[in-house]
Amino acid sequence: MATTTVSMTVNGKQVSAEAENRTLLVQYLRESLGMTGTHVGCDTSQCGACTVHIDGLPIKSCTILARQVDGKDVTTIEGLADGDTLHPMQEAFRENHALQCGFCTPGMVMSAIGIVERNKDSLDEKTVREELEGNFCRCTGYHNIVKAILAAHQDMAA
Amino acid sequence: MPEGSIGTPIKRREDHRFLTGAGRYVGDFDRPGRTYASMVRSPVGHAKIPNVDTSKAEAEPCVVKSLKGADWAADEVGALSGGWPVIAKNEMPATSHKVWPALQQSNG
Ligand code: FES
Ligand code: FES
Repeated sequence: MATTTVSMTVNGKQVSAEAENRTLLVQYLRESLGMTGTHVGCDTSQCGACTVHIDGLPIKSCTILARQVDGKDVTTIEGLADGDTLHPMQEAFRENHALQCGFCTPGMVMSAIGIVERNKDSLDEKTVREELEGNFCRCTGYHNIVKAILAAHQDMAA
Repeated sequence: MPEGSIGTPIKRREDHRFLTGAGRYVGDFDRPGRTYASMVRSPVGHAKIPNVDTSKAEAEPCVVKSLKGADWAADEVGALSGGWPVIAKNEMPATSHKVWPALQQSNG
């Protein structure tokens, strides 16, 4: 199987690993780098559990090959908190009970930050629900997730 | 439980690790000899199953074993609550019921 060395920046750190040409970014993160915070819920681009940021944009990491991300800047759920201080979106999820089992949470949080950034000036519930279409939660029923995102929007704008 | 806590939301201890990507789920462990199960689900709502041909799948080098309803019954694993079979055998009780799981060495 053909392999290449794939290098990128992950959470501010330069990383490099051999990867098969068919290796997905999510496999590269989880298996080559051992960063299991990014989850695989479906493998078919439906659930959003694998969402990470590539050069600041949320992308489902099961839909892109690791080698397509060579040289780019990746942020995962592990890279959001600043030491013990959670990112405002993580904090809002905690405050608003927006998680139960936590399996969807990494992808939810990464997508949610994208939603807030795309709608900096104004964000309403309808927009949140619409833009959250690509992320499934099998536990919470979404209500508190939507609440958390709206609360984080306030905090992040402040 | 301190007085007044009933009906009051409390912060959960486990949330911090779930929110920072530090949770440990089954898929996060890598043990020697680990295999993956892939479930084949029924494409129809209700049907009789005269036979499930797993020969092609079993010929794949990565497939360790495939299990059908009969294997499940023979192993006396039992049923789900309500008596539903874990893997359908002769008849498919409902949409999306599992027909057979195959264990494979990698999920690639
Ligand atoms: S694992 Fe990527 S969308 Fe579900
Ligand atoms: S918290 Fe369990 S799937 Fe969302």
